[in-house]
Amino acid sequence: MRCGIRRLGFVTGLVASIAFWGCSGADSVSVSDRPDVAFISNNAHEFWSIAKKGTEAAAKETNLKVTFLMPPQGTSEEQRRFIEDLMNKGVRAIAISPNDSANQVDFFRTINQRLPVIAVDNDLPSSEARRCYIGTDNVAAGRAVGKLIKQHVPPGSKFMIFVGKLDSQNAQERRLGVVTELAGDPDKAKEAVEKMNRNEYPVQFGDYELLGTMTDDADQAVCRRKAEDTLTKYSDVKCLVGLWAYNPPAILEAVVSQKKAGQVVIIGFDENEETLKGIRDGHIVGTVVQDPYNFGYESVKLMAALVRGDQSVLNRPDMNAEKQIFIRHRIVNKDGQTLAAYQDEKVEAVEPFHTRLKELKGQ
Amino acid sequence: MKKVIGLIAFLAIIYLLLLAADPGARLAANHFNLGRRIGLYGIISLGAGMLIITGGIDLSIGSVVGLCATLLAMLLRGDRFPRFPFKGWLFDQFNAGLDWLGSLVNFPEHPWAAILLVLLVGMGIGLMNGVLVTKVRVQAFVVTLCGLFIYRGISRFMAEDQVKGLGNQFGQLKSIFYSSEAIFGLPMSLVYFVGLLVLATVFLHWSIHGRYFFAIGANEKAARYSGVATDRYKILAYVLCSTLASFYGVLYLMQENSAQPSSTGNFLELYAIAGAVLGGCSLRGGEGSVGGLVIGTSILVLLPNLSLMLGIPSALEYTVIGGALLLGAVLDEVLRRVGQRSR
Repeated sequence: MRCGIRRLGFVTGLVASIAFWGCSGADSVSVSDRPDVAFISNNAHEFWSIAKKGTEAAAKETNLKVTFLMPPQGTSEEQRRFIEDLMNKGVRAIAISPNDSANQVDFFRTINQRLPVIAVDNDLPSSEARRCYIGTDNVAAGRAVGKLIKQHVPPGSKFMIFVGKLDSQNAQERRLGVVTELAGDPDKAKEAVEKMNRNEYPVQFGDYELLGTMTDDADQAVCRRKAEDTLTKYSDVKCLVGLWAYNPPAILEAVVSQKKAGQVVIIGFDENEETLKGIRDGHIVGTVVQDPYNFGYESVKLMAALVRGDQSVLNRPDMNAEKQIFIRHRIVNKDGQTLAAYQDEKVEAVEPFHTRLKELKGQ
Repeated sequence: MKKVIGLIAFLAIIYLLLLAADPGARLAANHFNLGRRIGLYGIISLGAGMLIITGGIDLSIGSVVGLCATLLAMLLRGDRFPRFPFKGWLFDQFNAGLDWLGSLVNFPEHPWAAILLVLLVGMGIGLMNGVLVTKVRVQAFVVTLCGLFIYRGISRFMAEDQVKGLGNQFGQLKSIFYSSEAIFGLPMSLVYFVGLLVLATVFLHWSIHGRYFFAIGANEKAARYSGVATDRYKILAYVLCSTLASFYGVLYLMQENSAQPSSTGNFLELYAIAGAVLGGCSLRGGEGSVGGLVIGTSILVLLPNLSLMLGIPSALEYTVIGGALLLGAVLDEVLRRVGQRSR
């Protein structure tokens, strides 16, 4: 009996102490004059930590409180859970990079009726599902990759594309951009793209032959292994393209381990540290970078205006008729020189780009 | 009941904490969401739990969910299934068989047939797992781990790595499996879960068959020598587990409106097993209860909600969940020992 009482005491003590901790946590959240908004990424990759810096800067300027959430597994299910919980928690606007934009339209339409939703990075295919879109034009960015191939790989060569998952919209758009640029125009690419979707490799695009698309479920080690196997199997492959941030470093490691450095052209996407180092060392010819800082910054600015009732931001001059703001991608190469095939792309040298990136990351 | 007393206390602590964390957590809407999630996770935990009670394990649950959700989406959309990219008589026959199957029923017009087929696929997978484990005597861990890879690969191949969505069709099905609040205003997944709970309680705790489940888990040899058809019951447990996983796949598709072949259901087996083990099922078999499963699942569902309501950075979410679970397990063990000493 005595032990029973002690047990009861132990439990109540624990409840009380944890509840106290909980309450004190709650107090600090409920500051009222700073509206709560949220930013939800589509996965937990480094890319988004740069966007987070952007949201923090904008939050300071606009006196907002931003909850920044990254779903660890990168599924639409987690995002839905976050949104449901955040709405109960009382956020007033949400910026999100939707994981499965095509099929979540109805869900976001109901959310967007209750509070402003801003699509970031991946657009929602309905104007009722979000107030506006901020992000990269992924097809255009893919075309920039295609331009890098045209510039640095001799015509008639074979190449391979590496990307995390193909059921992601940006992966498909980027790949479409790459092959469209190589084929010349969308009409010429169409038939070949269908072949590609049916997995009937190799597929010819203009002067180049695509050997296949390797996926790795967002696992860098798997990507490296597949790149190594590709180099073994196709001794005549001339170019490896990585479309997600960790792909270029994995490809570079594979090329070095197979002693093929200098024989294979590597082209990247995004601004992974190793990718930038590879460009500086001359192992990677170039990468196409987005501007995640401004994804975060601009979306918080927009949310700040919307929660304070200022609808005029939805007519900003940089917004097109579909309410999209495209944040311009750039090519980063070793010396920042604009080469013939780059055409009208913005080009930046790796050194200054890297310095600024490190500042943004607070390193 | 004694066994779960520590768990109930732990669940109560988490719940009180949640109520204290944020005014939003106290809303009916939040409770509705939590109920829906408990219903969903509960269904697979129930399957995993019953299997664990017989001493089995299933690591393929998540992949089965992914396969079934993708398959159902494709059937309902009337998609063409890809052909095997190999030549040869066997593959030609197989491809012809696929064509024949496809022409048999017009699934977009008969969605219930599609759901039935998907549940049968789940059942078939369970049957195969069970036979491989009992008759061929391959370790359950190996059989189902291989299943984890195989079914994930099949879903991706089948869907050609495309997300399969339902658009705004099948409103009636979505209502029946997800959005309707016709039954006491409860979320549909919870309604199904409660129904399944009743059946599972009767089966596990009030029928001789349930006794056999526990007997097999505690000491398979002894059970066999006392005349229990151990293999048959073990196969049944695998079938139940995979069928419930396929049912989860159906509910998932109706809720999310799409299946992502590469990620739908990923890691779900770990949640299912965690829910069951946390709820008092011993991985050595022979122990566990339906009530414990409910509590284990509830704790698993409440923790992420609590983490968000407390405003903990999402990078720390897993750490908070893991730490809290560990704390719960320790608390449970300590209380049990104190209880034994006072007796």
